[in-house]
Amino acid sequence: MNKLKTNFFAKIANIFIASCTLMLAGQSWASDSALQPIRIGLDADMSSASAESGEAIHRGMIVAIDEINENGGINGHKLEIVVRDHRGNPARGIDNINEFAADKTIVAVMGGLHTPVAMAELKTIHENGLIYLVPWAAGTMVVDNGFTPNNVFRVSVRDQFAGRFLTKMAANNNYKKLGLLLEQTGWGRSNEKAISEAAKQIGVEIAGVEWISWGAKSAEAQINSLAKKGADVIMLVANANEGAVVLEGVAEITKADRLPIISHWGITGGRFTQLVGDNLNKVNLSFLQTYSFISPARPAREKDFFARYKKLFPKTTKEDQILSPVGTAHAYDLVHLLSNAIKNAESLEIAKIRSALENIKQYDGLVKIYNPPFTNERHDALDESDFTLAKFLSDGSIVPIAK
Amino acid sequence: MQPNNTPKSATARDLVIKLVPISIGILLLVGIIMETVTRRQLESDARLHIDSAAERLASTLEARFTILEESLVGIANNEIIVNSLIDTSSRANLALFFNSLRAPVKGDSYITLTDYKGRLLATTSPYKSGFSASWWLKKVLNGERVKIFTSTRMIIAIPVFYNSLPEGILVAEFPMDTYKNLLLVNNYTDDYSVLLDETVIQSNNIDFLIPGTTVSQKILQNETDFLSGWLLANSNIESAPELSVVVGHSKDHAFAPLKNIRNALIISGFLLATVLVLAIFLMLKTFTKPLAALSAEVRNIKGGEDLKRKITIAGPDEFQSLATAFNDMNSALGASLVEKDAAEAANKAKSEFLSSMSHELRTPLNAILGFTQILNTDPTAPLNDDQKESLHQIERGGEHLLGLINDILDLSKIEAGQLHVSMEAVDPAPVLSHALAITRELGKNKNISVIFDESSSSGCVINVDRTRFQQVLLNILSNAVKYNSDNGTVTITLNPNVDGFVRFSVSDSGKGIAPELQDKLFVPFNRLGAEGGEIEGTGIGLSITRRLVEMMDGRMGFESTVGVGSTFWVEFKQDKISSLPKHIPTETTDQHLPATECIKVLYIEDNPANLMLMKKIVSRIENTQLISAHTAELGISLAQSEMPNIILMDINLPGMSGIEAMKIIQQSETLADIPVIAVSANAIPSDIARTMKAGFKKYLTKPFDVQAAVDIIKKYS
Repeated sequence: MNKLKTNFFAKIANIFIASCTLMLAGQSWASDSALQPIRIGLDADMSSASAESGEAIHRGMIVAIDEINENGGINGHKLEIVVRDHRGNPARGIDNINEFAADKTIVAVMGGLHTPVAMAELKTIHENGLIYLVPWAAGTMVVDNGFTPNNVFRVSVRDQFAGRFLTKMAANNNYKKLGLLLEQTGWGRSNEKAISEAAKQIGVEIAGVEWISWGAKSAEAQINSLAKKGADVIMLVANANEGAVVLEGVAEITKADRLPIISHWGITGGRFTQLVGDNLNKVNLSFLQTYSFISPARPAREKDFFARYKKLFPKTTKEDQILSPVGTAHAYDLVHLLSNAIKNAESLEIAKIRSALENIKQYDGLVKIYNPPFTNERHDALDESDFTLAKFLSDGSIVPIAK
Repeated sequence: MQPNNTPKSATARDLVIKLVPISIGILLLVGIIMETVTRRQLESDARLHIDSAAERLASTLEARFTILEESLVGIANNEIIVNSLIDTSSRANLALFFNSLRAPVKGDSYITLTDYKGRLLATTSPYKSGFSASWWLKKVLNGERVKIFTSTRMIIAIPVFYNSLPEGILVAEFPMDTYKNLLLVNNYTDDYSVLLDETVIQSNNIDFLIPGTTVSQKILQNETDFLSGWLLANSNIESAPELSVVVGHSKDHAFAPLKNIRNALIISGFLLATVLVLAIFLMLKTFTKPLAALSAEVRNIKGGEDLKRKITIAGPDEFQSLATAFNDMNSALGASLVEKDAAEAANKAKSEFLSSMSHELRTPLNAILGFTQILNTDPTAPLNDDQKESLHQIERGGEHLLGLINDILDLSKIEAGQLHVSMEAVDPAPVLSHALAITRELGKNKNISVIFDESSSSGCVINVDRTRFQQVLLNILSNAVKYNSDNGTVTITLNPNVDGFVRFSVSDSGKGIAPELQDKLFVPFNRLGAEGGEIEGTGIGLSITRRLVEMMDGRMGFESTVGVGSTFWVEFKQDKISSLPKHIPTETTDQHLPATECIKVLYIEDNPANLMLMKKIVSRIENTQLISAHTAELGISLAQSEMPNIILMDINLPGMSGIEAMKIIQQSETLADIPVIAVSANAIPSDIARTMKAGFKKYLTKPFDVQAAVDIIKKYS
C-alpha cells in the first residue's frame, strides 16, 4: 500500500519535471524562477589549419559574454558557450549543428571562417530553427542563401563587396591585369564571381583564373600560368595553409618578376606568418581587413574591450598580440547584437529573436555604430566602407595601410 | 661328420645358408640406417626449403599489399581528394577521377571516398553505400591504414588527411575474384595456398589444396591424416593477419631419392649375394678340396708304421706348408712314439718283475712263516727254549723279508703312480692310540718308555687317508723305538693349529743323526751307515713315509742333535669339522659252528708247502676236514663230488686260473652257494680288486697269519 502511494507521488513529480522541461524545450521565455543559462554554440575550426580564427572568435564571444553576464545576463539568464570543432570540414560542421540542435538550450550558433562549411550547414540550421551568426565566412551565398525566413546574420565581409573592394585596391595601385588564384571551394567561386563582376565595372582586365585545392603542396603551376598570362598582381582567395603555399611559390620567383599579392583575409585565420617565415618580406602582400586593434575605429570602445580581454587572457599584453582581430571583433559585436535581440524579443523563440535582430535600431559596437545592424532585407552588417587593406609586420601583427 | 660324406657340398650349403642371410641382413641394416639418415636429411632439407619458401611467399604477398596500399595512400594524398572533402561541387567528378586511375589489380575494384564518419561522398561502386557502420572506422580515424580480408572482399581503408588530421576516408574494395588474383604468384615453383583464417582462398595447385578447404592448425602441424603426405610450412603475412600462406612439399617428391637408394641397395644386395655364393664355391674349390684330401690322408695315419708315411704336398702355399709341417711333426711323433714304447715296455717289465718277484717271494715266505707259527704253537710238541730261540730267529728273518717286500712294493707303486689315497676326515685319537699300543709292544725289548698326553689329541680332526696315516705314524714311531738307546724314551706331542695343520712330533733319545748325513735321510736304501748294525731296516721306510705324507697334502721334517736325539714331525691339514662322532668299531660276531657236523674245506693249491701248511692249520680246527686239489679243474670236480662248506682257492694256478675257476663255480647250480676265499701271494691292490670282482668272499694274502686263516674258515664255513 505504501509502495503504491510512493509510486504514485513519484509519477506526479516526474510528470511535473517533464512539463517544465517541455516548456523550456518549447523555448518559451522561462519563468523567473528557472533562470536557465542561454547557450550559444560555437562551430568553427578549433584545431586545424585555421584554428586561430576559431580561437579568435571564441575569445571575442568570451569577452562579450563576460561583459553581459557581469551586467546581469539577459534578464537574469547567464550566457554560455558550447564549443564544437569542425576543422574546416563541412561533414563535421553539419554533425556539430545537429548536436547543437539536439540541445534545446542553444538558441544560436556562431559560425567560423569557412564559407564551404557554412554553406553545407545552412540546410541543417534552418531545418532545426537555429540562428546562425557569421563572424567571418564571407561567401555571398552564406547570407543570400535562398532560405525564407533567413536565420543567418553576418558581421563580416561579404564577398560581393570584398571582390569590388579588392579590385578597386588593385586598380588604385595601378595593376591592370589581375591574376586570380582562388581556393577550389564555394568561397573561391564566390570571389571569382565578385572580382570578375567588379573588374568589368572598374575596367581592369582578368588575366587568368587559377584554382588551388585544399591540401595543395605547391601552387607553382598556377603562379606560372598567371605570370605567363601577363598578370601584374595576384588576387589571392585562400586560407592560411594554401595562402602560404602561394606566397612561397611567389617568393621563389626572381625578385624582379615577383608578383604582388592582394589577398582576401582568409590567410589571417591561421598560422600564416609562421608558415611563410622570412618569405613574408620577399613578397608585396596586402590583404583585406575590417578592424584593427592598433588603429581602432572607436578607440574608447576598444579601450574597454581590451581591458576586459587582458583580464580574461592575461598572456596578451598588447593589442597587436590579439589573434585574428577581425574574428575577435566581429564575434564580440555579434554576441552583443544577439543579446540585445533576445532582450528585446523577451523570448527564446527563433522567429522572435530573428525579428528582434532585424529590428535593432542601433547598436554601439566595437567595429562601428551599427545603425541599424540588420534589416528585414539586409542580414549583412558591414559594407565596403568598413574595409581596409592591411599588411603583416614581421612579428605577425596586422597593421592597416593608410588609405 | 662322417668321413665318407662329401664335405664340400655340405659345407657349401652351410656357408651359403649362414653367410647369405647374414650379409643380406647387414645390408638391410645398412640400408635401413642409410634410408633413415637420408630421410632425415631430406626431410630437414625440404623443411628448410619450404620454411624459407613460405616466408618468401609471405613477403612477396606482403610487398604486393604494401604496393597496393601505397598507391592508395598516394590517391588519398591527392589534393583533388582532399579538396573534395571540403568542396561539395568537386565531388561530382570524383568517380570519373577514380575510374581514370589504373586498376592496381586485374578484375573489379571499387574506390569510395567517405567523410570522416564513413558516409559516402563519392564512389565507383555500384552499391553506392558508405562505411559508417564498419568496425574499423575508429581505427582509420585514428590515422591508421586498415586492411580487411573477408570471404567476399578485401578492403583497404586509408585516412585522408588535411593539415595532418584525418578528415575523410578513402576505401578501396576488391571483390574476392579480384583479390584472389593478387594472391596468385605466377611461376612459383612450390605448391602453396593462401588461407583466410582457416579457409583456403587461393591455391596454385589444386592437387595440393582446393579453395574452400578448411585447414586447421592441427592439419598444419601435420597432426592429422589430411595432408599427411605433404611437408607443410606456413607463414603469416604481417600486415594481413587474417591471411596466411601454406607451402606444401609432397613427401613423394621430397623422398624420391630414397627410391633410388632403395633400388641401389636391392641390386647391390642381389649382387652381393651372388658374389658371396660364387666366392664360397670358389673358396671351397680352392681350399676345401686339398683340405679334404689332407684330412683323408691324415685320417689314414693310425700310428706305428703309418707315422713314417708322408702325406702329399699339394694345393695352395698354405696347405703345402701345412702338409710339410704335418710330415715333420709326424716323423718326430714317430720317433718319440718308439721311445715311449720302449720306456713303457721297460716299465711294464719292471712292474711285472716286481709283481712276480713279490708273488714268488711271498709264496715260500708263507710256508716259512706259517710253519714257524705252527711249530711255535703246536700244543702236542712243545719246544725247548733253544728251539724256541731258533724258531724266533727264523720268524724274525721271515718277517723282515716280508717287510722288505712290502716296502719295495709300496715304493714301486708310488713311483708308478699306482698308489692312491682316499682322503677323509679322521679323528687321529683312535689311530694314535692303536699305533702307541704297537709301539709300546715294540719298545718292551729295549725297555723304552713311550710318553704321550692322550688328552691333547681330543677335539682335532685331520684330513687324511686313514690307513696311510696309520702307516706313517707307525713308521715314525717304530723308527723312534728302533734307533733309540736302551731304556730310552719316545715322546709324542700333538700340536693342533699350526697354521691350519696338526703336527705330530715324535722325539727319541737316541744318538741323533750327524749333520752331514741329514741330507741323505730320505734317499731310498740309504741307511746312513746302519747297514752293518744290529738294527734291521730296508732304508726305504722314511722315503715312503715322506711320499705318503706329501700325497696327503701334509708336510714332514725333523731336527736332530747328535747325542741328544732326533725329533721327526709330520703335519696334516686340519679338517674344517672340529670333531667327529666317536668311531665305534663294529664287533665282528663270531659265528659259532655247529659242533656236531664235520666241516669240509676244499683247498685248491699247486704249492705243496702251502698245502701242507693249510692242512696243519685246518687240523687245529675241530670237526674240520681238508680236501685239496693242485689244479682248478680237479678242484671243481672235487667240489662237485664232495660239496665242501668252504673253498680256499689259489689264484695263480697251472692251467685254469683261480678266477676262471670261480666263474665256473658261480655258474654251477650246485656250487654257486659255497663261499670261496682267494688265497694268493699277489699283494698288488689292483689285482686284488679284480679278483674280488669275480665273486670271492674274501682275499687272503700270502704269507697269511695262521690265526687269520683260522678265523676266516670259521667265519665262512
